[in-house]
Amino acid sequence: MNRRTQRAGRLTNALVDGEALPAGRVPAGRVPDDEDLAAFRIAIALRAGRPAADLPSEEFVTRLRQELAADVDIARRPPAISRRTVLAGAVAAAAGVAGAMADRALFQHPGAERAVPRALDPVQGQWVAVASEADLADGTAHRFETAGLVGFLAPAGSGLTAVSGVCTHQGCLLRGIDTTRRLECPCHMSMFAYDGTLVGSRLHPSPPALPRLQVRRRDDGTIEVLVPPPV
Amino acid sequence: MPVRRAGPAGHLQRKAAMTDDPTGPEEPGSSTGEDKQRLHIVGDEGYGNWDEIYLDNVVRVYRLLFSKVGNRHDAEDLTTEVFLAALGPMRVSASRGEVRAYLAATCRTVLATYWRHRLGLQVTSIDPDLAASYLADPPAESDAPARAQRLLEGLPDRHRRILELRFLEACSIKEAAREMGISVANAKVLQHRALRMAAAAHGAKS
Repeated sequence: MNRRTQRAGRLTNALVDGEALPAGRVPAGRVPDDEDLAAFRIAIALRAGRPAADLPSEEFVTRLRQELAADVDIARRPPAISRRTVLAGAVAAAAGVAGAMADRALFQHPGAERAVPRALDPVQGQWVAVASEADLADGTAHRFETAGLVGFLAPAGSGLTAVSGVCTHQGCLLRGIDTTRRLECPCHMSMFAYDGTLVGSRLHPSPPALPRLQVRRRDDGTIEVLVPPPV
Repeated sequence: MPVRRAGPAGHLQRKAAMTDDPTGPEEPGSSTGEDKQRLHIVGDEGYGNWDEIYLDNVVRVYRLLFSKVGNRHDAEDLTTEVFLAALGPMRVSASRGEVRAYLAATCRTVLATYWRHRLGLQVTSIDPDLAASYLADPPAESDAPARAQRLLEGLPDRHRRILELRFLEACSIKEAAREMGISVANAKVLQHRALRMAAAAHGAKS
């Protein structure tokens, strides 16, 4: 067998053995020829023909139903915290802030390389109180909302970290998972650490890290983040 | 992407059966000439809310996508993407026909993106009109097993048997080789040749 045929054979075996197909473009010289592709299509059709194989599991149907219900609920919430408003607010705020990087950070093209987290660092921002020390006592992330932002605060060593709560892939609102101390995107299950770095994703290419926010702790224990001014 | 305005003519239009496409779907119901005339009338009745849209279509969408990727993990991912993508732009007040036409078009786009990212090749594709018909009037029971059996017809016994063991009876390559009394290396070669033989016999296109 030549390399093309070997690759096609590996695809077929991955398919029939229930393994994930390899991701990424096929290297030059190993692109399956028409006959191998046709054979692979036959493999797909045969695999789909296993009795009852093409029925979705109850668990999957239920889980997706819950995710969609949550998404519909989010879409119908008041404008200040709807997904679109969060994004639109961020854009509008960024447009009025010289040098602001919010738009680039939030709307980096999905195909971009995984990047070091950029800071959401508005020149004309304002400090807004979003939590108290007590909110972070258990070590898990604290979700907050301002007029134009949704984010998460979390302890980081002796300091604090604050990141955007909007997934950098398609703008879905993240949710905090206390047990694993991660931020999860309900749309495509990408996982981010509390500091915004990507720790897992099924997407190819992977979404960029979450933008970081400036954060400070006042003497009275109030925690503030620097956000763009309201427009 | 706007909701596809697919009036009755669009829904009732049936293309020729995908007899050269091993991954289906086929004409809803049956592929006989008589049944091709059995058109499904799509009324203007709609859905009450998103949950109804989801529950009425999730199994249909999943089956359609599973027939194109052949594995559960990816079928679940793609089904999720289809509904999430449709959630924003689609009006709940759209008719059932419009909803299914939109879901079918979304399935096509999602599948094309999947293959482009996964292999850089469009291995299988979805005809949106045919898929909309399939979503509107899916067979009561999955036609995938019957389609698989037809693909095996006419193959030499040993070629048919290796594919049955591997694909329909979920045997590993070692189990299949042991069952047939051949080496694992021979089983791999036999499987490869059997698939190519079936593809040649059925003119497998995307």
